[in-house]
Amino acid sequence: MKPIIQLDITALTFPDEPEPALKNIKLNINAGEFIAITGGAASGKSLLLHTITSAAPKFYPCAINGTVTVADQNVSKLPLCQMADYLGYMMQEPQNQMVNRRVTDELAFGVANLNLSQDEIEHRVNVVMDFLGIRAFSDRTTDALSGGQAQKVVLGSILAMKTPILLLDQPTAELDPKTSSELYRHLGRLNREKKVTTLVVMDKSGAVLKDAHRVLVMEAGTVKDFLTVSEYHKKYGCRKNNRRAKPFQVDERYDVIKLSGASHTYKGGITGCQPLDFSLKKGDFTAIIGQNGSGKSTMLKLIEGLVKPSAGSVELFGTPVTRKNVGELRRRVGFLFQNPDDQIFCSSVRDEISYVLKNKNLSAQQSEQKIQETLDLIGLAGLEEMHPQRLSRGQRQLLALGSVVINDPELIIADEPTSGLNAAQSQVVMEKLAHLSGQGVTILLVTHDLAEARDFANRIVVMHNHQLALEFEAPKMDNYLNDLVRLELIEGGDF
Amino acid sequence: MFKLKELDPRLKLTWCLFLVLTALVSRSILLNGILLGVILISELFSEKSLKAFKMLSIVLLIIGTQVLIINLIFGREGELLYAWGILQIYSGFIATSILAFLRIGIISFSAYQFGVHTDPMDMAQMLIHWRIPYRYAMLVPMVARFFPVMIGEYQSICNSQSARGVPNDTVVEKIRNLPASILPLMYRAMRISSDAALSVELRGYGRHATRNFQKKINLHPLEGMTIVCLMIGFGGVLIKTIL
Repeated sequence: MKPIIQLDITALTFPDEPEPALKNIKLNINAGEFIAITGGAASGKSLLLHTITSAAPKFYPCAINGTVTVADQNVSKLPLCQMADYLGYMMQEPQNQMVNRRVTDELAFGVANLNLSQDEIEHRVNVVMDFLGIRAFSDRTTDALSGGQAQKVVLGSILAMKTPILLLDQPTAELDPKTSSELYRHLGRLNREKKVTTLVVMDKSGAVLKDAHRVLVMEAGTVKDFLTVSEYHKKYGCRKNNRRAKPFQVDERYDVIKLSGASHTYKGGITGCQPLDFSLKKGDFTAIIGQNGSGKSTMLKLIEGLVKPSAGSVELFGTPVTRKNVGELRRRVGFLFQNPDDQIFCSSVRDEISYVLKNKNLSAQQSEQKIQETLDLIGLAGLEEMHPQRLSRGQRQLLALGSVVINDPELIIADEPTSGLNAAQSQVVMEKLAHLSGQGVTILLVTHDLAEARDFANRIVVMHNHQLALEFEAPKMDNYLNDLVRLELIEGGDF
Repeated sequence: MFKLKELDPRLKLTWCLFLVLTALVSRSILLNGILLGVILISELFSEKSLKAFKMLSIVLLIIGTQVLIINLIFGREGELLYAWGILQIYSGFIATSILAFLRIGIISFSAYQFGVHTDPMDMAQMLIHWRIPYRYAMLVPMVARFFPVMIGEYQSICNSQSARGVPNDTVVEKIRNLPASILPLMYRAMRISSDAALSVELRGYGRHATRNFQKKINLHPLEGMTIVCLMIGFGGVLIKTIL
């Protein structure tokens, strides 16, 4: 079969960097192939895709020693906008890629740039809306979309262009397991029926392997392995069960969080969550799972005091949360957000970690000891003076965790802390949370990763249609698979 | 049913300019009052509510009060009603204040109405009709998308920092912590702009000299006639004022 993408790169080097970011890459990808790309942090997965699109070096200046050919065209000789004739590229963080206010305008953006007729634009937009199930929110503005919906819209905009090649960088990072499976099923169908060559940087679930033909394993900027899926499974194995052995020390008498009929309705009458009755005991490690838009984030906002309950009440540490005491209560809580960049603002790792110590009456020696202990815990010792933005995404998430942990919180609320991280990075973050849980810290985790919830949590709560729909002990998840299918969280046989 | 959103942007812009220029040219309280009334009635007909003007009305009331006070103190039109030291109050201050208030109201309400009820994509098409290259015209919808995104980003940064214990409740606290919020916001803004720029290029932006639209703007003959009538109307007001 004829290769549609050919890479022959000796070295790709960024200015002021001594080492090449990509080296010794010789790849032929055939038309109609479905390739899953995997590898550790900073292994060059995204950069490889940038190189195929010619964004590196045209958008990200760098020196390339070698050639990249797409559909027999040397990409270095094509303007960036002409690459739209050959490939569609979806990067991470879909919200950053949308440039129109209305969903339909966004879907039509690429096709309209190709100067097709109005009827053709209309037709293609309608086809992708049905294909990806976008019609239900097609009249919304793009800034009102959830992460999963945004991911679908960006993908739809690319699919509407009908390019022969699709490059997708972690397209399911913000999707719930069922939507991820649906998306991969759609991509698999496109690949089989339309022979669309597909390259996907896979997330930690590895769900894409069901449809992939080959797996490209990257390491330190080069291709480590290029295997068939069965060879990959043999060599790298399946995800192991990481169930923690240490028992949980739950104090049933003390409610750290208590929601009594708490609900919230956003402006315009949009339901955030319906009346919730929920309690989290001291020492518990509870995972909340649910589809995109099921109300998990609103529930967290209620607990954090970022939105007021429209009805019912919220208690933290036995005290009703009010505008006056929310600041005081928050000092006892550590919040770990999905995007670490939202909470990192200092110019060095040390400043970031020690920020909350400024308001504590600690001696210089005590502060230094706490900083060192925290750096050791999160594994960033030795990087104290580095600017946080020079760290990898996984390291930044660990830094955010460190800046939370140093305050000795009694409760940690983690909102999808491993979203966008690879399996190894996720494992590190989750093990740190498990370690803190072992020390008696109460943890509330929101996640889309069911294996993560099963392996690290004590209890799992399922949200569906803005309500709490199911609750069970985490190790017994296998007994509830039918319920999870019924609650549209997984597809039959997914887990 | 009459919907402002569905009208051609060229008609809406002409209507907005007609209101603004007429308000600036005419010194008639009656005419300005009628124009303000027409804006409110058209909004009510189109949207069945005046909710969109709620915040603006509050701001206008505050500004109106300031205008009244300034005219009360410094107005020198009409007859002297009261004098005490340097404070002199003339009878014309009420009429001047009302006229100023009406003018400010017309200008702000009409501009707001145009902005709220005109789709940014329609504005881009309008600019393209005026021979602006589409690469520049399309900046209008892009900027319209960028603003709410950045507001959302700022909110999310403030929320996460507030939740982390950075005091961010009062205005003073917010000002004091501005550098802490602005730095990550700038970083995010640069990253979003860079991602968006790459994304549009790779979706063929600039691939052809022109681009098409899913929903094209189309000036109905009736709308064209209305534009002509508005221009004639403004000409009439101008001539009447000069004469």
